[in-house]
Amino acid sequence: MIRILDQLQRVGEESLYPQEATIAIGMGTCGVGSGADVLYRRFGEEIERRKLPIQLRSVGCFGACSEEPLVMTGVTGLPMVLHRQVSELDVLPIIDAVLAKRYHKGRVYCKISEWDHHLSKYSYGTGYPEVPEWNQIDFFRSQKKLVLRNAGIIDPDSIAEYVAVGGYRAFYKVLGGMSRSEVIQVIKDARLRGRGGAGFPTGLKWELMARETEEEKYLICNADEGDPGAYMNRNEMESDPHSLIEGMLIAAYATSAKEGIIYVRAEYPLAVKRLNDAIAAAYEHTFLGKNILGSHFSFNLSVVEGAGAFVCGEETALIASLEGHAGRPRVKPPFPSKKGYLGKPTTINNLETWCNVPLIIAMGSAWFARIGTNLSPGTKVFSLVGKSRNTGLVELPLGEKLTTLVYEAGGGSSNVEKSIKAVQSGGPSGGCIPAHLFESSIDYENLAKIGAIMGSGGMVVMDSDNCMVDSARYFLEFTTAESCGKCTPCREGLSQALSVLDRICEGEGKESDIALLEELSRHISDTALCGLGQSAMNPVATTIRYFAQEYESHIKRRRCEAGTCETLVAELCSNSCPLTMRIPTYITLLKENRLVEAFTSTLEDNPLPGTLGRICHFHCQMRCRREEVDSPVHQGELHRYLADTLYKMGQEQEVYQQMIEDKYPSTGKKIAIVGAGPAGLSAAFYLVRLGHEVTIYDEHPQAGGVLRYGIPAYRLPRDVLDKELELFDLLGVNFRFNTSLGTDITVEALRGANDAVILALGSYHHSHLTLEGSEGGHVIQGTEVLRRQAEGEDLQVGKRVVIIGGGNVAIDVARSLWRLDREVTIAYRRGRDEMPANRSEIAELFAEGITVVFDVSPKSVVRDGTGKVTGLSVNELEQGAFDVSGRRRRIPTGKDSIIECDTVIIAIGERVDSALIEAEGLSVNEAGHLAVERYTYKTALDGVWAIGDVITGPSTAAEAMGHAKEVAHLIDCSLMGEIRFHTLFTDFKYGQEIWDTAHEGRQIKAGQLPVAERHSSFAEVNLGYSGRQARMEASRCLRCDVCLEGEVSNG
Amino acid sequence: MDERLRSIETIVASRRGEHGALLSILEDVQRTSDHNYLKAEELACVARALEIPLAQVYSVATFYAFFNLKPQGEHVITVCRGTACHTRGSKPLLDKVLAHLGVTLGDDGSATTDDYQFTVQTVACFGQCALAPVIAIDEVIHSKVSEDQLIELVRSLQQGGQE
Amino acid sequence: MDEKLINVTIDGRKIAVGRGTKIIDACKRVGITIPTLCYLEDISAYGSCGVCVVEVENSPRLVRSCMHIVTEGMVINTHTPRVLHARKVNMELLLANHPLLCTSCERNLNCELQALAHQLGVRESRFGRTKTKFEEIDRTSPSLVRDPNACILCNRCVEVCESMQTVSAISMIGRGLNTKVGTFLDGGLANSPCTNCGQCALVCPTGAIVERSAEDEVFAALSDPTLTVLVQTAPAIRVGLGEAMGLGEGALVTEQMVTSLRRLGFDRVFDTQFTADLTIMEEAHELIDRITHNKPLPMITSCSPGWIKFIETFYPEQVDHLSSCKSPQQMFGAVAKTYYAKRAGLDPRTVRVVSIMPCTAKKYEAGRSEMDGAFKWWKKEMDLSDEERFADVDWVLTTRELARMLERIGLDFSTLEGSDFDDPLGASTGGAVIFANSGGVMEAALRTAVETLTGTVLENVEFSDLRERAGIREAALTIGESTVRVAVANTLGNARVLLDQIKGGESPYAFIEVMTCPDGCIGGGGQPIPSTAEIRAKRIASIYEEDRHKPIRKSHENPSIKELYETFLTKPLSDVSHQLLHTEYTKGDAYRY
Repeated sequence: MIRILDQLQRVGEESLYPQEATIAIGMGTCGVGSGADVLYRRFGEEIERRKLPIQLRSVGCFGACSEEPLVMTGVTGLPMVLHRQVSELDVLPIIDAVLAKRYHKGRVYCKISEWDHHLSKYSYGTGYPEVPEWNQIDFFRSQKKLVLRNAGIIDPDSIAEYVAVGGYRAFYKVLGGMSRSEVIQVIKDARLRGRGGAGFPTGLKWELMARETEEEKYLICNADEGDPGAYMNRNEMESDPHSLIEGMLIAAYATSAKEGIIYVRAEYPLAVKRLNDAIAAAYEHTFLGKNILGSHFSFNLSVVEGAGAFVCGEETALIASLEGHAGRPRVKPPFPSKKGYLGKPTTINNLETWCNVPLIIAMGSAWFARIGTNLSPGTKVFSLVGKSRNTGLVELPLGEKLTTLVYEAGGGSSNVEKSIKAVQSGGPSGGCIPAHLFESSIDYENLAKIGAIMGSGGMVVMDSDNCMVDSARYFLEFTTAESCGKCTPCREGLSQALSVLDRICEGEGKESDIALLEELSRHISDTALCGLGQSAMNPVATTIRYFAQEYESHIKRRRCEAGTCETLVAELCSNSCPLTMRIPTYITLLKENRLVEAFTSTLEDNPLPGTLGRICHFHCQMRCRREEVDSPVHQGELHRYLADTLYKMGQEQEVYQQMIEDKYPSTGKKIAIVGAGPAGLSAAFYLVRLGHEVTIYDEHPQAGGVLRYGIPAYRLPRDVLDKELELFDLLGVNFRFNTSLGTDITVEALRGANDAVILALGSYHHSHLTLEGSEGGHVIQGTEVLRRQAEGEDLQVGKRVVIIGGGNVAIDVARSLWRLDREVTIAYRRGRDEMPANRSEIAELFAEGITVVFDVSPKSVVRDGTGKVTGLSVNELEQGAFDVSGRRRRIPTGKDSIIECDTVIIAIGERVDSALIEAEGLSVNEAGHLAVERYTYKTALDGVWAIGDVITGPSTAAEAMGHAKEVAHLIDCSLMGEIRFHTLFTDFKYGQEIWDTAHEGRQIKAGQLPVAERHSSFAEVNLGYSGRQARMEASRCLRCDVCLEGEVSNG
Repeated sequence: MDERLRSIETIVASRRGEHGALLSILEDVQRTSDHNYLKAEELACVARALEIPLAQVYSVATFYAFFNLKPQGEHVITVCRGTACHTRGSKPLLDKVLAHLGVTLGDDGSATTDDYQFTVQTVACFGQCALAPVIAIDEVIHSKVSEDQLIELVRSLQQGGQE
Repeated sequence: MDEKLINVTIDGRKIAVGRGTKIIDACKRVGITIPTLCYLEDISAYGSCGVCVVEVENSPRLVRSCMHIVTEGMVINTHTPRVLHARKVNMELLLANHPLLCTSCERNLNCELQALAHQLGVRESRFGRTKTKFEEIDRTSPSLVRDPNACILCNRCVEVCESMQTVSAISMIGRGLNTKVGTFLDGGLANSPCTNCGQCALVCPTGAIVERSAEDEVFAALSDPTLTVLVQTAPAIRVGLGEAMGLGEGALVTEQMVTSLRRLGFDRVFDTQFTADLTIMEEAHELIDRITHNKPLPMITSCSPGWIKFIETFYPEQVDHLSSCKSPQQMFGAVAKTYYAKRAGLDPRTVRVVSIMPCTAKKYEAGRSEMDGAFKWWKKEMDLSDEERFADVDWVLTTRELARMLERIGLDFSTLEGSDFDDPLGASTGGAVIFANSGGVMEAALRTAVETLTGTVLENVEFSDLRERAGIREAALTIGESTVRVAVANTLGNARVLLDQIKGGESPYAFIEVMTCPDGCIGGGGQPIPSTAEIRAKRIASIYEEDRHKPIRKSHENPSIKELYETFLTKPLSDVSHQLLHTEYTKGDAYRY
């Protein structure tokens, strides 16, 4: 019988390692979906037409799905080269390259010099040093391909190639000389656990089955992969069907089962076809059927196509389905190992479990047990999908961290502007794991502990655009529809939970709803009949556990920040704006040439339009749907244009006059605001217009806060700020400058004299950095430099400056000092892409040619004998593993260097002055910020509210102003007992049609001051739009706000 | 029709005694049907040939998403509603194509145009998550589909249909 | 069964129970009745409702006591806060999509859902309706009305239909929240193989399956002065009605029943037992005829209309085994509207016959098109047109309907004085009484057949083999030289076993009695709910008691029957008999829809 194997081996090796050049195309469903079949045809035609000495091969999927179609080329003696995202245009270049014993540069991905099938090993050759080895690529680096050992390398339709890489040898070993109990013992010793999700010990399962004395016994492979987001089983079947057959054969031998069934989803036609072909080939070569390989052992195997019911992944439902019934689970016990298919003993394992078996038998349990963790040995194949840069199949040793999966293999977020928020593990029965838990190890016990499950291995990455309430709702919608309908808790309970989530997503949620959902989660898990019901509420439970804030925001504020819940979101830009500016309104009014009205609308929404139009982070642009076409509309530049134009023409005065006229009569209520930064100013703006008497206290001599004392004039010219502050005087806001909280005034006193007090203190405190040698002068805080610059004081900064940090303050300081002719170096502990500053600021920093030293951490300030600063000693760092924020950790190399300088500036962040807050009798939360009730901004003291950075830590001006708007509304309601806030906003009427003249092309860039003109000047860098530019940019708006008949808004 | 019932009997005969026979038979019957659905007399024929109750066959046919009990359109547009596709915007795709064809999803989760030219349906997951959002038109998979692309694809089928 | 006992602790009390005992049954042993909506001992264990959950130590989740079997050392707690809360929430969830139209429901105040909601302390559900549509009520059947909206998907009906009756007219259709109990293509019971047995209605915990009520029609007829309304009562009613009127399980209330019917306003109160005796006369002679003339054997009884529909549907090729005798109900209708009407000088068109039956299939039977022997008989005599057709039996009321009618007129049943049936169609023998029990028709027939065949007097009229409480019973009796083997089956699943024997040519029997319902008519689909094995045992005993006290116990000795033959029918199997008392069968198809 060994003859059959040897014969096949020879045939297999000939096709697998031919003497001529090869072109192999990944022909999994993913590949075909990306055009691999067309490529295969084109290559074939070309080779045929030119009678080329090239062998064309069809192989399975190599797992890098986002790089499909993959084409692998091989030339004898040289490494195989993988080409990615190959199109028809690449066919000829690839053929030419292969003929020239080269590769097609334009599409090269990586090379494979040797391949370890674990049951065989092959060296293709060495060469192409410039091409990275496959496992040097982040996507593959941490992978260990056991189950995927043959995927993408061999031809799944060739039993010979499977044998050639060591296939069927494990089975042969078993058949030739192992007893049934020995086989089971090996599996038990390997501690292999079910890869279907629950992790039941496979060896034990087999043992229970082997003990049953019935003549008729069944093996079932569960390949009814119904989890949305999981497709590893499909790929395993499509790429390496024989390893499944071999795994089942070994189990059949060990448990003396005579019949095997592979239950596959009908939605996987290619997998079904390859399995059927593989089974036919196995029969043909007597690996299946009667007297296998001439022995007394017999085993039959067939494929049954499931018909689209997720619940059939549950084993008793699967059995019911095979028996010709609806797939409704039954209570266990009795377990299938006692009473399964047709009432006979049955062993059901997930496909991936079976695929591990030949390896364990051939390599031994000790070898296997060394991989992964002690409790969970081996690997698991994950399908990494969603908002991940790289998507595909990732086989990792169990116990690896989620950071490895998401950030290293996945490459982080598919959009650099957006951060990854969570991963949904294990499909609809799994849970949402928030990014801060990404250090968790991926194993059965640990995932269960954090409320998720391994499940079949689906990993769906979600970013800030994904609403967690919506995603819970989505999964519940799925499980509710897939519930078999048998038991009350699942059938009725899930539909009730879904209706609760529906109403939350529609803004109709009640405050008690979260508790109700939690109660239903516990209840359904406790009383549902089968695994589907018991786990169905996991996504809800975990999103509540980790993202309660999003639920609250939907319920209490009717807001869906991610912009997903259609009922709550008109257009994404306004929805994402912390000030909820009516962006399509001013864009349309601008386009309709109604500039005064357009300006009025921006002013009503945002009392500092010219300022914010310059310095905002432009949350709106990050959510602009135009981005899907080319690039987002520059909403910010447009509203700056409106302000600048009105001021230039002096037309703002008529708007101001109207606003003053429209002021509500005096209410007699007095309101004190501490802090004249963007938050305090905005609150004052609305409250004074509502007729309240408002006084702002600030420790500085002038208003503006961080706008004035933190942002350099080249970004925000002072005349713009001063212009916009005029309105506050006109409206009658009182200012008390040079007045500090804690020394000149107290909260208690303000409370006594006012009807309401708003604390908008900001976060000015410097973060602490212990640095040897920092005492003794010429070591200074970055914010201090900016303040002195703003107030015209002596900077006390030398000629050569090192700035520690990578945020906006560091860059503002650097660019300011550069303008003042200093020699500036920034020392930052990470890399350019990891700098937390605005992208545009970073770009300007480099445009201005400022030196940045990356990957260093400050060690000490070096001083000479006189105490004069001579340099900053830094540790050089190297990149380590990813942390939960998706950035690589920095590890000291032990190497030091010195950056010469005479001044060291520290700009590593600011924080809230918690001591002051506590001294004023207010409480501080865990993060060190002033504690307020979420969404009401109420502090622990009655009548005292707090907004802005003091409650969040350093954030954006727009967010602080958003708080101000909300708190103005809340305070007015509480003082007046009626809702008046909305009356401050004019209802503009404008065109409600989508422009057929929408301007085509990418975002229009405003002019910039040439770098050469920036030296020694604080003139504004960004020159803003011209009128023509503004109108063109406005025309790029897709008008998501327009609701057409029969269409879904936001859709 | 007699011929059709005979062919169903042949299908039943070829699969009788197989594991999971009822599912496989119904799948075969539907695949070989005219408008990709199971007709009353076909279900009855299967029940009779397998000697199982009519109600059981109906129970199975209504339980599994794969089976249709209503005629399907000439072209079937399947929008994947898997997680990856959902996170990458398959809902707007679905809404768009439904609006374009002027239909709304029925209780069974599908919609067929009055002229039986198009059926729009959803699938829980194609297992093509890396290519999200994914749709299938007449079983051909289209990956990373945008709303405009989808409407373009449908338009070309509509025009093709008029020729 | 293994003799070893299993030790368990229930609510702190230790108890030993047999291996294989379910937790719910073990709990009963310590006096704890676990509430459930889907479990029905010996009938159905499906585990869907989730109300019977208990806490089992070391089990991570609550456990369904109706499905799980005790294991050694198991520690069970049946009323922890977690358990009580879970039960309550499941009840609330069930009520959320239930119509809650209790006052207009047939099962009001006899509804398990209602009673359990009360028991579990659910006054209102916190949950709203999530189902978007209402299901159509199935009114196609002459016997039963199904309202899927009231259904809680306990599966009991599907289980009895499939397992006990092997009919499978209904099944779980669809999935998820859209799951419902339905028929093929939702065509309704009338377009399914349903035999109208009503066992589904008996086990339904809510009002989702009820009999098709004829109460209003009967009230209307009773108040119509132009009509003469006769009533006949089936043997099983006298042990069912008392139960329904609150007199205890199996209470024998023959004489109160008669009085109550008079009080309701029936013009004559007769007894189906009269025609039960008549049936025996005809059937015994038919058997003798078949045996002596080599006609198809075994002969099978035909009193049970569900059974008739069953054999016509599933074994059409075997209908010639059926006795051609109509059922006693139909014989009564035919005799009442001919013999009695003539004798009493009534225009048959003004006579109405109402049956009180333990059976829902009787409604269907009365409506069969061939059941108009009296009309055909009069047609010639009175020159009637086809438009004037009348059925032999006009309305059929179940035991439950009669009870409701009595309640409606406010009759105090418990203090009612007894009275006797009217003559002559009120006279009956012990042989007729036992028609109510499975095996009774056989026994009564044998009492007559043996005497007729042997010409000797039968001393012991009780055939103990036929009284054993089994689904299939057998007896062998020696008649002269030969041994005649007979069998009795109750429930259609058991009948199927005997039919398959016939089909395989292996049936050793000359005569078979089949009753559709478990234990026969006393367990009929029209009987009071609940109708458990325990309760049925009491009904059976009362019936045998009645038989024992009857002065005449053999049908052929009934003087009124003798008079009927002498003055009207002449002899069994006569032409008139054939015209009025015998029928023909239709070949059906289980795959018709």
